[in-house]
Amino acid sequence: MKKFLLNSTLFSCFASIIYIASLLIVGKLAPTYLKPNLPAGFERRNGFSYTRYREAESTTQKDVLFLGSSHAYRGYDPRIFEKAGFSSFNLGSSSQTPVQTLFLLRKYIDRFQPKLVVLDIYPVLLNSDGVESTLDLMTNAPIDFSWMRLALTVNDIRVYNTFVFSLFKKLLSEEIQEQSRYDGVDTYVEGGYVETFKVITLPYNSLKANKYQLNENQYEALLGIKRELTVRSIPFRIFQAPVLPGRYAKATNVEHIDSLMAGLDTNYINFNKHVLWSDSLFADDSHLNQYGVDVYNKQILQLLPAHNAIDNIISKK
Amino acid sequence: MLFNSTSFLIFLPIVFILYWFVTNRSLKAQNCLLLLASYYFYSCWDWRFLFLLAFSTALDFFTGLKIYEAKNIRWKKIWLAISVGINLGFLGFFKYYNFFVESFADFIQVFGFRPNITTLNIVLPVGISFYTFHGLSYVIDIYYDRIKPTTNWVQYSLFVSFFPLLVAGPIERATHLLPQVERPRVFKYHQAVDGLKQFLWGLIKKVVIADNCAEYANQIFNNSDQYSGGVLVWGAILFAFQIYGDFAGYTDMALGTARLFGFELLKNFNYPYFSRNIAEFWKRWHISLSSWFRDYLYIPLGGSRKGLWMTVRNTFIIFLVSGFWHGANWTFVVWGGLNALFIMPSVIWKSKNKSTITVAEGRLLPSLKETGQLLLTFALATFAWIFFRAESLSHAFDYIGRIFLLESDYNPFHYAELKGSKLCLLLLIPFILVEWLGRENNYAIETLGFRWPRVLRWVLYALCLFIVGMYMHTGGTEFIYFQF
Repeated sequence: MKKFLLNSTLFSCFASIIYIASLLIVGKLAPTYLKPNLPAGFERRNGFSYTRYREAESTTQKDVLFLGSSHAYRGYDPRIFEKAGFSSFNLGSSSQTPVQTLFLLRKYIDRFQPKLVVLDIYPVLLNSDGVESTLDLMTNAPIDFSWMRLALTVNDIRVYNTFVFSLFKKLLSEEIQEQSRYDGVDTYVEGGYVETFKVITLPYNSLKANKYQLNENQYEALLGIKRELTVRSIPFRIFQAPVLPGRYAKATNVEHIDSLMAGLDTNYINFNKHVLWSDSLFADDSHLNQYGVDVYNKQILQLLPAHNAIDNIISKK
Repeated sequence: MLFNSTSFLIFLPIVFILYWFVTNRSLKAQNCLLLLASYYFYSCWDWRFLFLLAFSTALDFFTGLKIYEAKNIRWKKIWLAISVGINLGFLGFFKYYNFFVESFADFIQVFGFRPNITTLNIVLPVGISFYTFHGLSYVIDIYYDRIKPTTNWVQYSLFVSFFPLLVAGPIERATHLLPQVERPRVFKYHQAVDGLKQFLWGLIKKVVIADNCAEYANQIFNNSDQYSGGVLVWGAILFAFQIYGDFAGYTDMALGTARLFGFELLKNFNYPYFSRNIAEFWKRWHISLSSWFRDYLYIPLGGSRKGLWMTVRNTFIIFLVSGFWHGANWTFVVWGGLNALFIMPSVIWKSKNKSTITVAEGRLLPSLKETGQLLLTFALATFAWIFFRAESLSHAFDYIGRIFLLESDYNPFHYAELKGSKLCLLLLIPFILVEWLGRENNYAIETLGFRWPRVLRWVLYALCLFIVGMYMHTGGTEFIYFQF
């Protein structure tokens, strides 16, 4: 038995080394179709995660911290909040679900020391496994061993492989090159925001009926976010940024999600219901363009006093 | 809990450590631990069906004792009938109730009746076909005086519900497994290492081969009306490897796990796709089920002792029953019937197939004749699998009909949604090669690198783990045989 345990331990160490070496060789040399569990295409892709998370590493103390999916980094413009007297940073990332939000919050909360945290909820993602968003973050953000916690939470072999691959690439000083702040359509704005002036071309034909679902992991993560902020006495708001009205109308159970979010006691606001949004304010069926963001962010600034959020920021300043 | 899940990765080492380090001084404690672990393993699917498992176990334990103690043959028969009747009653209710009701309704509609039928939303308890057959073999063996019943409830329960074989076999015999449960187990280094290697090869079969093939086999079978004959043939081949990888992979993992605890389970697969005829195929595929039907149905029916036509009849009966055992659908019955038909040349001409001898034994390559036989047998088995996989008989006939339509664009890789199946081809080639090279062993990698220096052997196993990590299918599918 002793021999079995000893050899098992030795083999585990040995196999880990061979695994990592194989991963690095295949990851570097093999064509995409030969490495299905080391997904490609996330490096410096749209969303500017690479630039955002590097900027986040050198930023401190902001009044407001925005988190969420592309709806967050395309929906909350730090320049507008700056004009109103509040500094802010947008930590949104593509397809970010509450699971990643909780991890990012824990990682960056002490750096930013925000006085208000806004989590943008895109209900489609509440039933997601969170793999896509994790791959985006692990490929682009400056990761370290602490990211293992996120890998374990998501628990997917593609995430583990990407984690190991990115980590060792970093150790081998093979960082990806600086990302351009303009990709032909979108512009990265300091503070994590992505600006676009594109206007949706209508009619938009690919809208299908949609039923939102919330899975247990995501709900647990939402509760975790709330706990984390409650312990630190940081006010927390959940907003649902507007989507194209035609798309919103296709969702069959918005009330269900609204009541779940309201149940979290976070002064939840579904902005789809708040204003009649014109189609010209959207870049696509899901995201506002800059004209829309101007309207949306002013709405928020008008509503925040009613939620005592701005008072809280001012009182802590 | 699946063998290829994270929860099993935690469950297995915990049970292993408790088994060899905490309860190792007492056989009773070891058996109790394994029984508890097995019930926990089963409850991970649906704890409510634990009661059914426990009831089935109690029934066979009790009737087994009663059959043994019966003073005359009449009472032996009564107790046997009670056990068989209740066991098959449960199996029939959970598995076949809706099938019989619907088939009856369809039948009387032919005569113009419009029946008002009620089907029930019945959940099929995982593994019911397997543990029912465990119990049946036990009581039938007692009835025929092949074994004496055990009086130890824990040992009998463990025989029925030992977690590696509980949900998808192999279907064990009391004569083989019960003595292992009754005697103390000693940890053997080589047995445990062998178990881990067999588990690893089973894992590759399941998550790399079966699950990757499943994605495209499902795509092709579910949309068969959109594809040309060449694509449908590719779909059938992918399914043939899916079901082999899935079931033989599960079996390898089950056998490997059992070895870690000092148990040797029955061999269930012996390279069935390297068979020279369908008779040989059935001596190599799901061996524990085939031999079960042979011993408890075919031989009691007279086997091959009563002339050619009785042999033909008995062969058809066991294949049709075997088909029906797989599921409540006419597709399985036709699948069984087709296999019976394919086996007929061996039955009628009593060709002494060389089923116990491995094809091209001692040689690297098969002869031309053997190659032809292997390809023909694979083609016949794959043809029959179409019925096994199809949703209905009409779907199967339509699928086969389309294969013979001469449509253009027969290349599956021309379809955007099937381009990824190139990876299956790239995985299948080395897989078949390794299976071919290892076909004289219990499992393909058993002696691979046996004489190499340890470091090279470890590199080989580590690369196997890397293949799992890089090529395992992330969609994740349950084991096909869980539904049976």
